[in-house]
Amino acid sequence: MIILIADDELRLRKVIALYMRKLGHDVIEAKDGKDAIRLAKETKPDIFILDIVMPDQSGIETLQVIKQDKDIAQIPTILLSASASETTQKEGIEAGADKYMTKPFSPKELLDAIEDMVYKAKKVV
Amino acid sequence: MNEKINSEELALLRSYFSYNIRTSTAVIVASVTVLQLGLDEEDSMMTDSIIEAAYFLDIYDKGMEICFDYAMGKELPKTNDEIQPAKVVTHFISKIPTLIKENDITLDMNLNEYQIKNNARIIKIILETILCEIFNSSSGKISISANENVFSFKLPKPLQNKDKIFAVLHRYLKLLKIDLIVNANEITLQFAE
Repeated sequence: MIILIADDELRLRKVIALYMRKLGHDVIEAKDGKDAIRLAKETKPDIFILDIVMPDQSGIETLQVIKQDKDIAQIPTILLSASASETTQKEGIEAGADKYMTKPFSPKELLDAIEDMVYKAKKVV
Repeated sequence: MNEKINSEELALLRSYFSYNIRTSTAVIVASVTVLQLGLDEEDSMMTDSIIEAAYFLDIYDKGMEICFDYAMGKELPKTNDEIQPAKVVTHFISKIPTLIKENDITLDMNLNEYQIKNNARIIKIILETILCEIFNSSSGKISISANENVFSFKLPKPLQNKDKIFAVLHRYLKLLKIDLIVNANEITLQFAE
């Protein structure tokens, strides 16, 4: 499975990527939203993991761009946030996120959600 | 409550410290999960990341305490303890080797022995909070210089989305007779002479 994770918080991104790689997945790391879109077009990941708070373009703005691009719009997306605010969660879901996870979370919990969503997406296809 | 801080700014402080505490906790939780899978030689950064994230948690917790004291209008304690800003900076840097390495940060430092003779604890915590922002969000060359009572941090690029929190810190530091100036990619702290 190819997982694209965009988070400007370098330490967390590296640790999550390492966890996924140890379990045999390919992980593409992006440092911000624009980088994520560029890399997604090149690599066609199975899933996006987007942090909400990123410089230049937030995770929600990135998701809105993704949903406008027919090449990558169908890729499931999980939004990560350090905010437990219901308003932010609602904004994320309205922008087209399939799931919203609040930091801190266990990478295992994240991977379970990824596998569930990718399985469902492939089943639909 | 401090008349200079309104409910919107109080919410900003709450969300700022909550965000940073949750992010550092997330690093610790994720690192521990990776450790449970077993540690390869190249994974040694994991343990360092946990230690560094815990160090940041400590700073943000103390930062939250003094910022809320400020917001609630609590009087500044009358202390005459001493502090050398240069020592705070070098100590902070010594605690985050992994972050510096992973963020490809190179340092150019020219510090002095300037000493402040009041409110050492509060000044140290605010300075550490500012350092957290600088080092968490920067990649590339950071130049730190001191000229008598003026400390300057030149960053590779401006910090983003920090205007509001720096505005609160600016006002707090004014009470301590310190001028915090954030200008594009340079942050300056002018201590009272």
